[in-house]
Formats: sequence, C-alpha cells, structure tokens
Amino acid sequence: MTFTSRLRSWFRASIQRSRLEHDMAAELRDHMDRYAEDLIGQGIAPTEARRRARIEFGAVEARKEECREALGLRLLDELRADIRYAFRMLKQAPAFTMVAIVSLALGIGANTAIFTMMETALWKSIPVKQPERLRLFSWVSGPKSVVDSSWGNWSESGGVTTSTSFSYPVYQAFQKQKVFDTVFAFKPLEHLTALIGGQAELVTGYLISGNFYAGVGVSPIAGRPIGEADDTANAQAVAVISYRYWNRRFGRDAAVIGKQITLNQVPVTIVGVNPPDFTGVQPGQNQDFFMPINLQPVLIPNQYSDKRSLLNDPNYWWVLIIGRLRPDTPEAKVQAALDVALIQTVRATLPDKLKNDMPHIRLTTGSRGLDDLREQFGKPLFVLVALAGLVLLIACANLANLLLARATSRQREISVRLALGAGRWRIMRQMLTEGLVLALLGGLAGLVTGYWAKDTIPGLFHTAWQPQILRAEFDGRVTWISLALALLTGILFSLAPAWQGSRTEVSGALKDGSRATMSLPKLLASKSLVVFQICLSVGLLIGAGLFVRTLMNLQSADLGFHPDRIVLFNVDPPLTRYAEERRRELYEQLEQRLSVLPGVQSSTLSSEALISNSESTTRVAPAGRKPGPGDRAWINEVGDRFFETMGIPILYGRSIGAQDRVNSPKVAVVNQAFVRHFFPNESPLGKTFGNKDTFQIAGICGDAHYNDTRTAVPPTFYVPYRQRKDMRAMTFELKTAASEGSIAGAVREAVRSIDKDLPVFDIRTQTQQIDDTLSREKVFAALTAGFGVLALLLACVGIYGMMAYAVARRTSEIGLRMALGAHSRQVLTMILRETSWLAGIGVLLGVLIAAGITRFIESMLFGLKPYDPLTLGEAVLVMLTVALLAGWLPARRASRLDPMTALRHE
Amino acid sequence: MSKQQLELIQGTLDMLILKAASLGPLHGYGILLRIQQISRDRLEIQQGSLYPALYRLEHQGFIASEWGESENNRKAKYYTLTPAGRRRLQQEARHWNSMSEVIAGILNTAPEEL
Repeated sequence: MTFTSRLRSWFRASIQRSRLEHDMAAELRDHMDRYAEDLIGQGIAPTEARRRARIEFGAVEARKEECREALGLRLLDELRADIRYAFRMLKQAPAFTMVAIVSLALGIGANTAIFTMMETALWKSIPVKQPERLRLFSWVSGPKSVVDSSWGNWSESGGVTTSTSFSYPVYQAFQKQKVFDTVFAFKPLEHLTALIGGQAELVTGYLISGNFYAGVGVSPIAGRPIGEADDTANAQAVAVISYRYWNRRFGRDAAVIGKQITLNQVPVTIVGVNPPDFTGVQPGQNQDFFMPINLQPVLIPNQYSDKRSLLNDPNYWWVLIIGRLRPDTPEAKVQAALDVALIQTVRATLPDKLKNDMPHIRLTTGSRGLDDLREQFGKPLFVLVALAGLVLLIACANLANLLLARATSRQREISVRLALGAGRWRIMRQMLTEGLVLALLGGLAGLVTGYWAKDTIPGLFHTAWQPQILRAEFDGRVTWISLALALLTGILFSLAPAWQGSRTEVSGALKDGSRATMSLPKLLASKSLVVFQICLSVGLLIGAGLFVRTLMNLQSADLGFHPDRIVLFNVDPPLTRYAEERRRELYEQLEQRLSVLPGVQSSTLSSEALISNSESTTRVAPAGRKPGPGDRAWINEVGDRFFETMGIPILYGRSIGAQDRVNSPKVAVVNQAFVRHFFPNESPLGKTFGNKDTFQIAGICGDAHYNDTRTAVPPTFYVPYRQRKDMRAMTFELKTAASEGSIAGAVREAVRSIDKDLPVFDIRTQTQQIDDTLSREKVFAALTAGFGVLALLLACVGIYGMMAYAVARRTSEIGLRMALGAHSRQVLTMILRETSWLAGIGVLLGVLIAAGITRFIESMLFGLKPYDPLTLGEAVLVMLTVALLAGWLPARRASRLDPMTALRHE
Repeated sequence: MSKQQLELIQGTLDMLILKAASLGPLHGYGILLRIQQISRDRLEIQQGSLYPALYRLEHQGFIASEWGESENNRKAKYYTLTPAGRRRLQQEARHWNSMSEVIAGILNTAPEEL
C-alpha cells in the first residue's frame, strides 16, 4: 500500500520535476509570508517581521533538500549530476573517449553479430501459435530396428537407433489417440518441377496432413488454408503457396487464387497464400508449396516399392509428426499412450518383425519444429561467441587500464572531493557511473556495428549458387542481450578504477610532491591488466592460426581428381513423366547432346557429385563370402568418360565406356582403397563382388575423395548408371575450355531442346562445390583471423598506453638518471626491458592456457594438432613483435628526454 | 513568550501533523498554528522542519495535498488526511497512549509498592 503510493509519488516527482520545484518554493514562501503578516498584526515593524520570519524558519535550501530527500529524489539528482559530469569528463579527453568507444563498439559489435546468428540458428521459435506447446515426435530403438526403409533423419550410435520418420499407418494410429489437441504430419520435398505459364522451374514444398493449418494455428493472408476435405484420396489437387513465392513468381497478384499450375505433371489449383512470416515448420527454410499429403501417390510416386503409394505402406517410414499438447494432459501420460499405440501398430502391420527391437516414442520440443540448424550451427556458434567474448574481454582490460591511468591522474580531484566531505561509496558510485556511461555509448555504437555486420556470418555460410535462405535476425532479444552485455562490461572495466579511487587518501594526494612518485600497487594493477590482455591475445592468435592452417590444409589437400574447369549441374526428372526406361533414354540423350556443345571437352554424369557432403553406401563382399560388419563400400553410378572428365587415373584394366550396355554383364571400376580392403593379397581384375547384385571388376582407378576432403578416401566402386534399375536424379559434369558463365546458357538451351519442361538447377563449378563443403572452416578462419587482428590492435593500444603513462610518470627519475650519466640507449633498453618482461609473461601464460583449451576444437582441425609448434611459434613471434613495437615509441621518447627539462618537469 | 516550551520528542511530529490534518484541510502554516493552539504554545516546533515531514507523509500516502484558494484570493497548498493516514493516526495514538501509560506507571511507582 505505502509502497505503491511511494512509487507513484516518486514517479510524479521525477517526471514533473520543475513543477515540484516551483510548488515547493511557493509553499515555503507562503509560509514565511503568513508568519510575517501575523507578526505585523502583533505590531512588529514589517522589515523586522520579515527578518524574524526568515530566521525562525531556518535554512530554506537545506529544508528543500530534506523535502526532496523525503520524496526519494536525492539518488536521482546525484545520478543526474554524475552523468552530466561523466559527459563533461569524456568531452575533455576526446582521444581517450574515441579509443574507448571504438574498441567497445568493435567488441560488442562482434558479439551482437554472432547473437543475430544465434537468434536464427538456435533461439527463435517458428512463427506459429503458441510454439511452446508443440512436440516433435521421434522414436528410439535398439540396433535391430523394425524399420527397413526410411526417408529422413536417421542416426545410429552406441547401439541406439533414432529417427523422426514414421510410416503413414503409424501416424494414423497416433491420430486416433485423443491425447493431443492436434497431431499433424508433414514432409518437406526438395525438388518439384513446377510448370507455370509454359515456364518450368524447380520449387520446394511440403506435403501436409489436412489438420496442419489447424495445428500450427496460421491462416493464409489470401484465399483459404488446406483443410481436412482437401486431404482425401479423391479430392481435387490444391496447394497454398508461400508469400515469398507469391512475391517472386506472381508479383503479389491477387488473381493467383484459383490459378491452375502443374507440379510434377500433376494439375494443381492454388487456393491460398501464406502470411509473410510463416515459412514452414523448419527454421531457416522457406518452402514454396504446401499440398495435401494424399497427393503423394500421384505427385511423388514411390519408385523403390512395388506400390506407388506410401500412404498404406507400413514398411516405409518417412512422415514427420508434430503434436500440439493439451493444457490439461500431462506429458508423461501422452507419451505412454503414444508408446502403446506405436507398438500395437508395429505388431499389427509388421508381423514379420516381432522379434526385432520395438521402437519407443520420444517427444522433443517442437517450438522450433524440425530443427536441423541447431545441430549444424550449435557448436560452431558456441566457439565463435566464446572467441568474440575473448575480444570483448580484451577490450575490457584495455579500458580498465586506461581508466586506471586516468583515475591516478585524477587523485587530486578525488582528494578535494573527499576533503569536502564526499563519502567513499559516493566517489565509487561516480566512477562507476562514468564507466557505465562509456559502456552504454560503446554499447550503442556496438549495436550499430552489429546491425551493420549482421549479414556477414550468414553470407559466409551461404552456398554460392543458391538463394540465401539463412537470415540473421536483429530483434528485441538481440538488442537487450547486447545492451546487458555492454552494462556488464562497463561494471567490469570500471571496478578497478572505482576501487582505487575510493582508496585515495585525503591528505596524501593534496600535497604537491606526491605526483613525482608512483605507488607500487597501482602500477602492478595496470601491469597485470596488460599481461592479461597479452595472454588473451596470444590465445586468440593461436586459435586464428589453427583455423587458418586448417582451411589451407583442406584447400590444398590432394583430391585424387582435377576440379579445374569442371561445371556441374543437376536435373531431377519427375517420376510422373520419366519412369525407368524413359529416364535412361533421357539421360543418354542428354549425355550425347552435351558432349557436342561447343567449348565442352568432355562430359559425363554421376549419381553423386564429388565433394558435396552426400554419399551413397552399400554392404558388399567378394563373391563367395557374406559381407561382415565392416564391409561397407561407397558407390557412385557414373556415365561414360567419367574418369576422363574428372581426371581420375585408371591404373589397371579399363574405364567404364560405351561397351557397357544395359544388358551386358554388370561391371565396376574400383579404387585402390577398395582393393586394399576387399582384395588385399590378390589381383582383383576380373573378380566379382557384391551382395544382392554382383559386379565384375573391369578396372582399378586411383583414390579420389568422395563426399568430403577431410576423411580418408573410402573404398569406392563406380558402376555404369545404365545398368542400374532405379536411376536417380543425376549431376552432370562438363570439362570446359570456356568459363562457367558462357556455358550455363548453352547447357540450359541443350536441355530445353530435349525437354522444354525439365528444369536445370544448381549450376556451379566443381571448385565452388568443394568450397561450399568448407564453409564452416572458412567462417572460422575469417572470423578468428579478424578477431586476432582486433585483439592485437587492442593489445597494442593497451601496451602503448601503459608504457607511455609509466614514462610520463617517471620523467623526473629518467631525467635524474641521464643527468647522472646514463646513455640514451641505456634508458631505451631499460624501458624496453620492462615491456619485454610483461610481454614474455603474457605470452607464456597465453600459450599455457591455449594448450589447455585448444583440445576442445581438435575435431574441427585438419592436418595439424592443437599444439602445432609452427602455429604456436608464429603466434608468439607476432605477439612479441607487436608488443615491442608498441613499447618502442614511449621508450624512444624517454631516451630522447633532455635531462634539464626532465628535471624541471615537476 | 513567557511560558516554558517543551522540545518535541523525536518521532512525534508526524503524529501531531496527522492529528492536526484530521481536524480538517489545512495549509502548512495552518498546521503549525493548530498544533501550537491545541498545545497552548507549550511545544517548540522548528518551523522549517515541518515541511520535510509533510513531504514524507504525503510520499507515504498518509496525507494528500491540493492547491486551493485561501482568504483574500491567495493560493495555498492544503493537506487532508487520507484513509490510510487515518488508520495510521489511530495506530500511533494507541501506541503512544499505551507507551505513556507504561512509562507513567513506572515513574509513579513508590518504593513500598515493590
């Protein structure tokens, strides 16, 4: 009761301050007037009456101050005065202020830029209604799971199998459980061929269950959502499109509702447009089309199963499921009910798998939907934010040092304040206020820097030939975290000066002579700060060195093939148009057509592009033996002239060529790693191997990296794509004489001449393709190198500032030494020796700490150990050189002092 | 002023102000006059010390103030007791009365009563 009234009164007083002052003055004056009048009424002369009234009232200003204090305004007034004073002090030392604000802006800006990335990749919920009540379904089971075929996330480790994919019959069983508000299913589709107004292009989409829109609680901004009635076997095919696609493809034309287009040869009617912020249920993704899941049999008929439909196939696990929790049902109960339903359905639909390990339901948070970003970016961002934090810490130490120096030179001022009766806490509060003002200014500048740099990191992660999907989010949360960080920094760097200021002696500093000497603990404090700075900088430099060398090692690694002048592109012919025979014919036609393009020296195709983080493996063994647990081989289905085009040498036997027809004996070319693993002690040529299918070895090629450059070349075999039953989407490789740009048009034209509705996508060079798999390494190398340079600069300023200050303080001492006969070189060495001591200690500590920490990033390195001596040596050398350079300037100034002037200095 | 004046016991000014204001709206000078009138000028109150107390009581919500007209068109700030102030006054008065009773009892004790 009295608390709220106090708060209200305080706010009223602070907001209407001038009115309060006016009223207060009027009230007190009124009192004295009335008293004086009464005295006059008693017969006292007016002048005397007024004098008596003033005397008896007492000190008016002191009373006013007491009134203000009664209203709780004193702290506010003092704060206001402190802030005004702080600004005055900052204005007085513009160089110091600039250095402080710029270093804070860089430190906080770096952190802010990383926060914006973390917001996207780790924190932000998907834009749906009450995302915290969503749960993503997954299942876990022992190593012998009931699932034979799946499409989606799958992980096996430590004898535990986990996946987020379910069969459609299992989803239907879940839906019958009434433990959720809604249970909805979805499936992202990467490559759909859209034909709109005679123009073909590749689009992305979702298959969704009829209750999807109800489940996420999103309504389209135009048209209607997809409902239960759309998701039935015989319903008309409809789709809702994303806002981005509406904007890009239809120029936000309202007439798009009701428009008929073709997706994978299926006529589909557009019925709605999603709101701009709703981009689906996967962070960082923005799918174009949302269609009922019942369209699966016609839209993407299953080529791996006899049945075209996956909707009644219990063997094929592919559907992703999210449930919206009811507020009244506890999660444990939900989980138990789902577990029962899952096991019952598996028993009923997969009767031959009863002896396998039964799956169990895991519900994980669905507020970020199906989240692949966290896994991809979690650790890298953590490392980056730790590094950015180090930079900020260095900036902090730097500022603390500069402030400390200033506090020492302000000792007189503080002594005067103490002598006039200021409390020590009051002095400390003022120093803290000054620090916080500086921190806030730096924080604001940092926010601007961070906003300006926010697209840098997503840009570094961006795949060159694709539209950039990942966007940094600069929102309220990022702003608040950054400002809080700035305040924390401010407290941190003003603590030492504040403490020192509060310890100042009243009498000591007022004496003039005290400026001539320097008390030991103060120099010790700023020396420790410099050592701390050097130590952190060395750590950062070592990290930067490790990441830069990792990138260099990866880029210079021997690939086993020649990536120069190779252009890649993809086609994904829809199965609705190109099944089996027709697909092979298409590929053969394309292969032929492309090989005669002007400027193309050699062309081929393969099911996997090399170094694309994509792989296809199978279990094989030499004929007459069953594959053991370690008998895995990597397979690539390739066209004629693959080895010639990619520059992979054939060491023995022959390459794959035109003689390998559809019905001729099945052959394979294997690499040396394959020979080492499967045929260690015999000549493999002519031998057969396989599992279900068998292949005869026709040739042996050199080892070439398959999916990445990091891991060792795996045992690989190449087979003619023609001899495969299920042909997949293909990557074409062209060895060109010309540049990439001029060939792209010719490629599109060539494909169009065969099928005008077949989109060509992901045109890129093999070098771009390799670089893309190194994006994380590039980001680390670029950012750590940038942070390292920043740290060096800050350390430089720190050392220079400290030494310049020390020299200035010791001017008279140096003058005395020189007057007594010291050479200028001796003075130079004396000052430089001090710098080298500090640098030496800092570097040593930095190396020790780095040795302890770098093992956490060992898995991110390639081709070197975390304690790589060359990298350590370089970092140490750079740091020592920079430290000596920074210390040299003040040392030289000291050595050139004129003894007479120096002695008169005080 | 011939009568001997008593110095105010610490902490009692607030209670006196509340009592004075409970008798009707008054401006600061009026409150001073009323206290002196009731006490028949036997209390010595520092004129200036009245105002910090008034501001404190208003800050705590026990009295409310408003500018109004006084005699011959002069403006003055009038203080009135709030319901919370009324409760506070009762509480303080109770406390004071029991306290003075106890203390009076102690002081009036004769040796033979022990």
